Amino acid sequence: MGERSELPAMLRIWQHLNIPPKSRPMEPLVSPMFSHTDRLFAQNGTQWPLEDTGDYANLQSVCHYVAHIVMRSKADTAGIEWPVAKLSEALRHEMFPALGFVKELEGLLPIDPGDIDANAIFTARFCLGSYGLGPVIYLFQDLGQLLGNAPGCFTRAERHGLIVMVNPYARALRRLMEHLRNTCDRSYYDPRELATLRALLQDEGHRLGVSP
Amino acid sequence: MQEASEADGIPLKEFDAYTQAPHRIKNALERTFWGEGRFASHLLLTGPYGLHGLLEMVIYPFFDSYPTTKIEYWGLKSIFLQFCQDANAAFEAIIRVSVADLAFLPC
Repeated sequence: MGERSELPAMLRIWQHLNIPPKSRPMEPLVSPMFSHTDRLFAQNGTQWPLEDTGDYANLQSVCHYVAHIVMRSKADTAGIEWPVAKLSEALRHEMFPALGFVKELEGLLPIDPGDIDANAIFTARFCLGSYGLGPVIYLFQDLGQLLGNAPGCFTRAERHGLIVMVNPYARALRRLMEHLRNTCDRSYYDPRELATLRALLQDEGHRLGVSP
Repeated sequence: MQEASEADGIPLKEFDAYTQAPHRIKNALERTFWGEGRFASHLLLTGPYGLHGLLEMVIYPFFDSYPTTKIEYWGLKSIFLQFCQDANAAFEAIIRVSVADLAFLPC
């Protein structure tokens, strides 16, 4: 598969999340301040934790560190851009070890609806929001934009090397996200306003007239 | 997609989030659901040219696939969430009225 066709996989996983309205896309660094959205999601289910524990205990700080290197790798950053080797090293030694559990979870797929244990593991360990995988998704989007929009920062081989490194994790995240979406009603992950309207239409829609 | 006039309900064509600027979408929503300067409960309708059509053909596709890298994403998201919030409030008011009416029914 060519580099060009692999890039969208990194970007598309981003679209499965509902993104907080602040800080993006002007703020290149991952911001941990998304508590408002977390509170909204937390009312829906347990997969939007309110604190970073377990697999996610160190993930925010790792993302923050790597995101900083991504920002400094951009040619248009004031000053001298950082070498690609630093970014590769940070991904390899900091980011990917922290994301090992994502590959483990991907190994569970496809999960049979009757497999109670596997479903329980997925629900407990696949977490979204700013105390879950949200910062990782932000980081991958930044990285995807950097690789797609700043060709001057890398040689062709460097760019290809980064894509090959990151895409297995991006694909794993995407598969896990698709599993979530395919196994529950969308009101579980939609923003609260949408979920409420959906429920009202289902339960009380008969009270409204029908548009001709 | 069938084109509908304003009298037919929601002109879905005007709600194409991919081709219309956010302010035009906002105007179209207000023209369809607002009356006398506020969200009008009697304009909440179901069906393909009502709320169902708006959700299934416009709002859900937006949240599922609109490129978040586009700067318009943020404005549109805000507009759609605000719309849903207004619609929920109007819908709940209709339910309250309906339930209150039941109290006056003869046993």
